[in-house]
Amino acid sequence: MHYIPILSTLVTFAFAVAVFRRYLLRRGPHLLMWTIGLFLYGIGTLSEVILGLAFSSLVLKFWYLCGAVLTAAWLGQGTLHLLVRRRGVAWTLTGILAGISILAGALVLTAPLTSASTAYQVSQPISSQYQNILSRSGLIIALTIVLNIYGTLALVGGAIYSAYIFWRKRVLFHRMIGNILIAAGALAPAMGGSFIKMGLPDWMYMTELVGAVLMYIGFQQATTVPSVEPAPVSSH
Amino acid sequence: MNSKRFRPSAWLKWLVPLLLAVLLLGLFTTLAIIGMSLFGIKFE
Repeated sequence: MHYIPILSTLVTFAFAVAVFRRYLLRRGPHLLMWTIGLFLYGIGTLSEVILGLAFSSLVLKFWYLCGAVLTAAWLGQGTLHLLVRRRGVAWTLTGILAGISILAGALVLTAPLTSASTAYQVSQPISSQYQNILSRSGLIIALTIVLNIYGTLALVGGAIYSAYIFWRKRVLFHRMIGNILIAAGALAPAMGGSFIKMGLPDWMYMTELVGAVLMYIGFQQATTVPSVEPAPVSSH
Repeated sequence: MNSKRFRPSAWLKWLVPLLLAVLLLGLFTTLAIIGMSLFGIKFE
């Protein structure tokens, strides 16, 4: 199963580069936030690749911090910059998120490991082992949950809302499709985290790959202006 | 702007709202599962 995180890493970093290149052209803050979020996503999946080869306490902490704690929140922050018209609000929330991210980073990187780390198995997914190895304080768990709710609500909710607006106004068909794909792609890894809680850790690798691919296609779809009207037109 | 408008076909008229509803349901389900873990509810 270790080839799946390799594919996820390649797709995610290619996606991050594509978004960052667009940021260099357009300078929208949402593109910068998405680049940060995708970079964190990529570090998370790259950590899974490394942890599939050998155990490292530092890599485990980066996997948890980037993949489980921060990715959703920073991706959602990008969507917030896109949808919230009052710039002061979005930037204030970005400042708060940056502060919480630094706090979360300090807490996770200094968190102690348990003796279960000696029994780590490279053949098993890290998602099925980290809870026994990484000693997480109540504050770390609370931050993880709150940031994931915030990020998922902003990213998925924002994409659904945008798709609905395009649909209701019957404009920009390619952006409507792009937002539907982004919402579906963002839900996939979010549900992967839920699968861990439901005792199905193996599913997480696949949901990460599916999520990255769907969001990348959705982003391309939403940002590429078609030369010919693409929408199917009713015959009557 | 008129060139950016579209007229949905008959099947799109039910498919898109269905997709949006399914995504919304998925969002609420995911948020509920994440939220419940805040209160210590586990599924294992």
